Amino acid sequence: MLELKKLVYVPILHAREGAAPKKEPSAIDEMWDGIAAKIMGLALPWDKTRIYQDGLPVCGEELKVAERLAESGSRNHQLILKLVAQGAQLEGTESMELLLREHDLLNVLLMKHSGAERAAAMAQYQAKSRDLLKMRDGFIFHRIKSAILQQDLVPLVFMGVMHRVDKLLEKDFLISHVIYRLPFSSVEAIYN
Amino acid sequence: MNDQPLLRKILAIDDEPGILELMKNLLGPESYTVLCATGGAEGVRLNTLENPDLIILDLRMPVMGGIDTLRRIRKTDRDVRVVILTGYGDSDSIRDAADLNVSEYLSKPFENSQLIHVISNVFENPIGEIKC
Repeated sequence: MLELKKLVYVPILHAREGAAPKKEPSAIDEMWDGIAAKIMGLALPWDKTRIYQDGLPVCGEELKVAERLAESGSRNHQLILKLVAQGAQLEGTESMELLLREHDLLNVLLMKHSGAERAAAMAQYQAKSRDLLKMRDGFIFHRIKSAILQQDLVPLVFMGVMHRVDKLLEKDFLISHVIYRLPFSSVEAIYN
Repeated sequence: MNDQPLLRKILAIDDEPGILELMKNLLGPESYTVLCATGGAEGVRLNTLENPDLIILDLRMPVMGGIDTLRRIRKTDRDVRVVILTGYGDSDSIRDAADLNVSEYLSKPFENSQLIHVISNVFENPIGEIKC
């Protein structure tokens, strides 16, 4: 019987952090502290670990993008840089074209400030983004499958909770979830 | 006139009596009133009768699982805060939790202090539906 390859899947919540310095860690900070501790505890073969990140386009500048986001305070990308320092490799994950479409949708939503306008824009975003998310997930799935299946590598996938890439991957991989806590009530909305 | 503040009520739903006992011993001294249900059906019933401020819900229970239990609760109660505790988390149950307006999804094992901290954090946030 063919043994399935292992894949580590980390469901995450996206959150925009304020620029002001914080006195104590937020729930999102604690989520990332817990995820980091759990991943380090897995003792993965770092030189064979390939990191796939929600929102990171295939662009040839993946590490620079992660460094810029880490510098701007992203706990997600700060963790990725730590793992890269251990020997893991960061991979371009998403289609640039699909991501730009997602950003356009999100910009329309974020520019609406009044309650009624925002609610209507949110409904529109959800409807359009749902179809786009399916396409993004399809791209990510093929990206991971084509790179990993023929080689002795371990994919480590950081993906927003509303993605369904796991449903595509579970046919080819034995998925192990890394979950610490997901503080839904601490985020205003769950974006794709 | 009684000036004592009303204690917040927490309903713990778990099929393991040991976990329910732990909740009582842990949260009682933190000034919460803890109600316990040993299964989903009893949990739905107690939620209707007691109108708790927060539910701590195990995902894996025989007969009626945690997500089914919460779906039934949400038919009549959109507002109660819910913290899910699970030793077997996966993406499906996380998506269900997001759809059912869960406040926190917490993986076992957890430190006692962590659970107290999470519950306190949940009470600090206003009740409202998460948009997803």
